[in-house]
Parts: sequence; C-alpha cells; structure tokens
Amino acid sequence: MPATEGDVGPYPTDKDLAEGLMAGSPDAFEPFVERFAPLIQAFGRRMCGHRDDGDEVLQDTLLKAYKSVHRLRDPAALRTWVFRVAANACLRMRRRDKHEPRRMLRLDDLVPRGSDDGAPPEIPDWSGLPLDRLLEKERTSLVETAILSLPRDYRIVLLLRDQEGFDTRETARILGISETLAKVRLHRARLALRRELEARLT
Amino acid sequence: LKAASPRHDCGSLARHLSDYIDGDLAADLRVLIDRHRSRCPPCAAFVRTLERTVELVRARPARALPRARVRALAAALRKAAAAAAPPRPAARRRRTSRKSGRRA
Repeated sequence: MPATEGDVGPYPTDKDLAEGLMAGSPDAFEPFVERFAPLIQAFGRRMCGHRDDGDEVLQDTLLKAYKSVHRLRDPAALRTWVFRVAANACLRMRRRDKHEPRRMLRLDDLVPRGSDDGAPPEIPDWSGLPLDRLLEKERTSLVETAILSLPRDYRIVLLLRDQEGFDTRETARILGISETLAKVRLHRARLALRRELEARLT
Repeated sequence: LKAASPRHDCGSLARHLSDYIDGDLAADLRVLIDRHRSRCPPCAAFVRTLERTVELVRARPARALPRARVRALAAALRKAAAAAAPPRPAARRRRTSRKSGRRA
C-alpha cells in the first residue's frame, strides 16, 4: 500500500519508489523524502518525546534507509524497511538515555483485582468523556505524555501497531522479535496506557 | 474480581482483550467475553476504556510538514547522499576476492 494516498508522479507506489531508489534515479530522492519524512518525524517524536531527538531520528533514518536500500529484497516492503531503520535509530537513541532503565510490565499489575472479601474493583468508566472535543493540542498532549510513560520496548510496539497500522507480522519483522512477543508487548502496552489515561482523566 | 463462571474469571478473560478488540479472537471465546461483559459492570467499563485507549492512539497526530521544511530536508539529504557512496542494486554488487582481499 502506498504510504501517501493520492500520490501522483513517476513513483505512485512504494514499490515504484523503492525501484527508483535502487536504480539510483536522482529524481526518486525528493519523493522519498516527501513521502516518508512526515511519517518518521511523527513516529520519532512520539517515541523519543523530545523534538530535537525526533528530528535527529528523522534525518538519520532517511539517510540510512536511502544508503542501504539496495539491500531491500522486496521493493513493495519499502515502508516496513524505512520503519525498521527508524526503530533502530529510536532504540539506539534511548539506549544513550541512562535515565530510562528497561522495565518489564507484568500482566497481573495491569488488571485490577477485587478486594479479599470478593467485592469487585471499581473501574471508572471514562470512555464516554468527550475527548475528541477537547482542544486538539490538549488531547494530543495528554495522550503523548501517557504514551511516553510506557517502557520503550512496549511503547515502540504500540506505536507501530496502533499508530502506524502495521500488523503483528510486520511489527515483529521491523523489531526483529517473534510475533508472540510482539503480541504480548502490544497487549501489555495497551493495558498500561489505559491505566495511565485513567489516572489522568479521573 | 468476582468469578464469572467456575472456569473463566475476569482476570483470565483480560488476557484476551487485545485480540478481542482487534477481531482476532476465536468465535467461542468472543461470545464468552461478550456474555461476560454484559453481566459484569467492572469488566464492561474495563473493556470500554481499553477500546477508547486504542482509539486515541489510532487518532494519530497531524503529520504534515511545511513545504519549505520538506524541501530543505530533501536538499540537505541529497547533499549528504551525494557525498557518500550511492546505493547499488544488489545484483550488481561486486565481490571481494578471498585471496587478495581486493575487489574482484
């Protein structure tokens, strides 16, 4: 699927664009930047949380993806390839951050339990809050702050699956992990994010 | 949480909620969760807020970059790429001779 809907010109699909890049066509470079820069910048900023880090991820990713595109086996998988480079850039950057040690999310900590006497837990139902009507900036800030509170190994799976729309198989390939692990991390990331949003909204 | 049935309590069903939301669950388990959430108010609230959580992430931020920024970035990257070795098609890669260590 093309990354940019309605794109016209000599490279209407990702496959066309990848083949242009692999052939070294000079006119393929700008469409490549136009198509992927907005995606990678948004991904990098949500993953890193800092504007400067997001911009560094963007430049690093575009250059590395372009320089190594000849190793791409399936030209139609250009988007997966670019996000693989971006994910590596994000994870490499976060490894430099000593303030964010690796954390594991445990399922038992994310699902509320009832009291010992058998009474069910109270779960505030904030699903009906008119979040969409909040100022766009406030809603985005609320969600992004909550996403940033997740450990990076879970955050990156959540962003690839739910923000970028990659399926489990593609996400696993991008991160070099098993599909089972990708599913486990996605589930725990969603549960942890639900808990974070609940704490901020109720 | 209180037991929904002798075999399926709320905690065990919670393990399947991402697959439930994504529509990847086997039909029998989906029916079980549908039935359970209709009878268990805490679980109903939990599922609704989890569904809302996923919706909020999927409502991704605006992605447009200013045209001038795209052009400047493209120009900077084109310059950097020109200074580096250009990408080569895989089929045309040259091999390195094992004996001499030089390009064959």
